[in-house]
Amino acid sequence: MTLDSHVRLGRCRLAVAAGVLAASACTVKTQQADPLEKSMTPEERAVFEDYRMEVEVGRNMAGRLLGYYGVVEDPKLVAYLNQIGTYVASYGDYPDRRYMFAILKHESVNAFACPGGYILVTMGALRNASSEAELAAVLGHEVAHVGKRHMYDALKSMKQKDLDEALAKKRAAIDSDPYLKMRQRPEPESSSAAGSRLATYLTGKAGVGLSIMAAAAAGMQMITEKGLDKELEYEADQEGVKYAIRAGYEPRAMMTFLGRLEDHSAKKVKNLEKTHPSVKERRDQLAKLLLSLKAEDIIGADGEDRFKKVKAKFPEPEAG
Amino acid sequence: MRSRLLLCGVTAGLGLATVATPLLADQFHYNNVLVGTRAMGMGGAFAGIADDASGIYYNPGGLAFALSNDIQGSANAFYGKNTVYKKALGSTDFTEESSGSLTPFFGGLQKLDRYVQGLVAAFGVYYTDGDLKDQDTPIDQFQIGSTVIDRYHRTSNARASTYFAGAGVGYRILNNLGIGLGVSYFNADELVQEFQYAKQSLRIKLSDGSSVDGWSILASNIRQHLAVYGMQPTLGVQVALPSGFTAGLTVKKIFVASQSLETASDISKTLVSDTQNSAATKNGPSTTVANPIQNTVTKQVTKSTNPVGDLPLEARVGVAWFASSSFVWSLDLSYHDGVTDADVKTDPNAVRAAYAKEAIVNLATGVEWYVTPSFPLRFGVFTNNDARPELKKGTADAASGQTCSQSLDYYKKYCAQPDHIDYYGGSLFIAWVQPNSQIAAGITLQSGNGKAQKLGDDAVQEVKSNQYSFAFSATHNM
Repeated sequence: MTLDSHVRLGRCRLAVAAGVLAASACTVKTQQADPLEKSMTPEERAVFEDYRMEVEVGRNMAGRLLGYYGVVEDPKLVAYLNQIGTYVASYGDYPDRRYMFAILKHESVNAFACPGGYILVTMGALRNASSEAELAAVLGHEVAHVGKRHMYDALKSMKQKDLDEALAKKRAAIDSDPYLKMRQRPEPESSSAAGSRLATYLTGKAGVGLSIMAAAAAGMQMITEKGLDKELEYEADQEGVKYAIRAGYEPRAMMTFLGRLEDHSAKKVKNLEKTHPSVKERRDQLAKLLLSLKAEDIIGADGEDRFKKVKAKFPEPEAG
Repeated sequence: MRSRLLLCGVTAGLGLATVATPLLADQFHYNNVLVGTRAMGMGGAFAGIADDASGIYYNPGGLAFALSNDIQGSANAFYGKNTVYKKALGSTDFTEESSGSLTPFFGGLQKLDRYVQGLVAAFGVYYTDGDLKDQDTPIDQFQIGSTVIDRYHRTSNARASTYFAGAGVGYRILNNLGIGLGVSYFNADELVQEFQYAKQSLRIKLSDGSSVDGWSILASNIRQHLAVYGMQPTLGVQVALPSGFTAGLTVKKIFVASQSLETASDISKTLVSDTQNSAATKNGPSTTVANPIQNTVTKQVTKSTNPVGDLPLEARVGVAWFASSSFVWSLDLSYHDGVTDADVKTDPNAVRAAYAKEAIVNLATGVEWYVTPSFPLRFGVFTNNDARPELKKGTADAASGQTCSQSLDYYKKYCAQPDHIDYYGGSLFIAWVQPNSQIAAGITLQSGNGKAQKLGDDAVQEVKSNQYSFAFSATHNM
């Protein structure tokens, strides 16, 4: 099997998982067995369970962010954002995934890509854009984070690592204490798919020790404090630009968007730079990409007029 | 739920009806509900283990040896109880039935080593008894002795629960010695509403010597509400011995802060002649009255502020043997002291006798065996002895010429004896364990034999009772 066919198989499985999940009741606790779900092979089942977990973690994180920042309830603006976002995503590497876009009521310039396709953009980020192409590039960046599962994979590896460390520490403590050691019970075997589903249903847990709540809490810390690995941000920048170009947008839009940030007050980009590489570094990396893509030869739309019309109806910034 | 059937008054030809004293949830057996994920599978033998959140119930001293933080919940998905009073109605058996569901335990445990090495805290909410009853029993045409009862109908509704909510701490004062203290709020709340109707054909003799056919009809409507609140401190100690043995001791007692029993009853006794149908049944006894039509209604509302009095002290001794990581055996002996009639400081009526308790000992033993590292099997057997005195058939009835209705002393001695049923039980549970969690499901069965005076007269019936409970639980270790 070639690398390409592996990728296609992976996408196909993910598409099945996404389809089943979208068609289902969307909550782990109330989900009924679906005929399609029943017919899955063990391999497909594993993909499906993992995707379901990803969605649960992302939903939990998105809920926390929306609760913290507040949500802009402007149906036309939200519809416009979703239109552009899904359009760009359809030209990305993972068009079968489900993406949902919402606007956070905050004037800092930032955007968040939660696992499972929940993408939240601040009002400040929308105001910073001057064209639809810039918005498309920003959304492409977040779509790339989701599609490549940057956050979810980081959470999974972090949780497993933490779990392993904690387990080792706990074992050592028990082994050194004869009166605790005698109470030690056998190490359980790895879970079966059926058992895993049952345990998930009853305890809200899935897989080996990955808790939705704990993962979401760790994800929040990552998304608002620590940020992802620098290389992953560069990758998202580059992929996002590629998606936007494929969708027909102007290649240098992201450069323009980031360039405008350099002129902004420190307050507006403080949070962004806390969790991302510096704007200068990102622009340098993008410049290399554009050079390699021969961007000057690509003619793309900037959608400036349409965006101006939308922007004219933006809600007024809140005082303070 | 045990109540007397309202037939004595009918068969006595309109004598005073029995003092119907419905006793609700079973506070006279102490192992009605097994508490805790592991303990319920091991027949409740857990004082020597008690190293999870259920240690707050079995032995707070065991908390000190907890391996990990945990949170657990268990529920009796369904339970049923069936008690048959053999030949209570002449040759006819009478059956009491109830069923429902309840949550025996929800609790959590947190190790506090980071603050004080060896300190563990736990909380728990647990039910030790509960009952739900909705029974409708109409019976036509049965015979008691030479008397034919045309119609008996009882509708009985009851809800009852006994639960505790508390917290406790365990601390390892030595490497192999843990002590613990728990304090729980106690609440017993029992409500019963019962309607009984009985009709008997009889021949009525009038004072002028003539006689007519008629009926004696008894109807009673009773509502009782018992509410008891209090606090229960629990002291526990557990010691780990060489070769994988442990021993535990737990002492606990409920201190009642408030108790009340409200009773409202309407008892109607009617004698009516059948002037329309002189061919009415004449199987019943005859009675002489001045007037062929009589109707007596007794209404009573009482409130007792000390119906239960003191509650027993419990001491539990347990041993466990951790033979290997895949096999544990445990044995508990629990002792409850008695509450005698004199301890129950209430007005002199039948209630105080009904709530008296004898000292009893129960035994429980169980094993936990990991068939595979992920599937432990738990099995236990236990006794659930009755704290009510052994019921003895009265013998003074004929000699004294008294009836149950004529003398309180006589009534208490021969007619007011509560049921006495000793149970034997078993439990079987299987669990599925993951690194951080486990779920368990299984069944608990109890079967008992005993005696009762279901009619409130001095007749004694054999009683056979069975209980079953399907339960499941989930535990998450952190």
